[in-house]
Amino acid sequence: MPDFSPTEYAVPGFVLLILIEMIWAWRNRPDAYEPRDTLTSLAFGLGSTVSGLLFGGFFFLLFLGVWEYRLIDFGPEWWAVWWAWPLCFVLDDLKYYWVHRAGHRIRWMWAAHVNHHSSQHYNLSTALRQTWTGPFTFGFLFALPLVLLGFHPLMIAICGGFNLIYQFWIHTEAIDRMPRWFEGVMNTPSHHRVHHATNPRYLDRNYAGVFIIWDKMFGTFEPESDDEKIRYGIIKQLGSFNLLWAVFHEWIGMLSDIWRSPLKHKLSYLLREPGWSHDGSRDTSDTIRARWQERQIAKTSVASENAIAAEQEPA
Amino acid sequence: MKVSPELMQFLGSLVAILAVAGLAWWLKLGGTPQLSSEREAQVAASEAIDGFESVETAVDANGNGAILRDRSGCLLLLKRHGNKLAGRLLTHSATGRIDKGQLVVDSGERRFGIVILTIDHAQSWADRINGVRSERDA
Repeated sequence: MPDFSPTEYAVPGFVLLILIEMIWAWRNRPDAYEPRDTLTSLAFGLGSTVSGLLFGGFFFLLFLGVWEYRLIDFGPEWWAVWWAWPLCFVLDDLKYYWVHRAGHRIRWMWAAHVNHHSSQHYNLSTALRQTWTGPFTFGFLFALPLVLLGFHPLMIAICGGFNLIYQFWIHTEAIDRMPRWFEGVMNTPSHHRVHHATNPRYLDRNYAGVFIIWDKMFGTFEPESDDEKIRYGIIKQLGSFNLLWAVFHEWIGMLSDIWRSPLKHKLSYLLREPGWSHDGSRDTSDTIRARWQERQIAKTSVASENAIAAEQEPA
Repeated sequence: MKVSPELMQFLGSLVAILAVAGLAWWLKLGGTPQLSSEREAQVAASEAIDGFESVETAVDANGNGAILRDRSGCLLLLKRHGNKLAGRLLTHSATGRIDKGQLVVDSGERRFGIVILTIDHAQSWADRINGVRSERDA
């Protein structure tokens, strides 16, 4: 059985690419980095590896237990079944799409995933801004179908590792667009910039990990527009570089809402979308987008009325 | 003393991330952009709170922030955060006071903190901020 963790081997490459991007920023876009933001993001990355060490073993053992009830048996040398690897990688990426989508649409999941989005910058250090609290969500459930199908938990972990490595390089503004065929199939810096944007038109779009086709299939794809400058971060920007606040702020907010709300709404604060409130006093990504769309329609109709009025004016 | 490999790896990584962040600082990445006009503050406000349309704007003389009011009387506070801006709609927990002629705004959110603005008519802005609290208490 292989004993291999691809992300461990990738770390020196991550550091090297960050240094290269910093030199690019120094020459072209000094505002692309902010030292305190970079330190916070990298501290997130370090903390998440500790969290993985502390809790990863538990989930691995859980998956091994579930694997005993698999539908398909790849045999004792499952790692030698070559075609299982690409199949597992693609299915794991599909799983990633859904766990990521849940990470944005269910507040309990968002409480952990918001960490990855809370930087107002978008650079390679942002890629390492990973959550510490993922084990306290139900994200692991999304992997169970793969385990029950028969893929060994280690195979899934290795494929997941390569998936994360792929996603590192797309966290950059240094690359504009990739070749058209590549943009059509793969997740790219352009597609993922959209995902990290707070502009209303881009909210909750492009959840893909490696293959952008999932967003196209499930109706969540939005291309990057050259006409609108992207703003990064979250709807309510942190306004603080305090690491512990950055890690736990959404957990604190969610638990506080659950504590204060009427009994019949408590579960909704856990399971409904971020921003939902029982009295409708807050904004969700859907309400923000709807309001923005109304404004666009109003602008268009005013512009067209003006054009008609101008045509009807006597010469 | 025997140090576990995990602890060594953790300490090594900690040194590495401090070095990388130090390099960003040494290269002077980031900078300190400032708000230089009401128009800039209005654009930043409409981005901080989608669709916020200011009818009155006061920009800090040093460009470190701004306070804006919309038609409905809502107040929005902007502050510099690193080399970006962050904004908050002021609620009943916000307070405003004058200190040495400057407007000191406590957003009421501990981590967002206090913002000091050198602006004209600071007292009237402070009254408006405190008015949000009074309206709620009335």
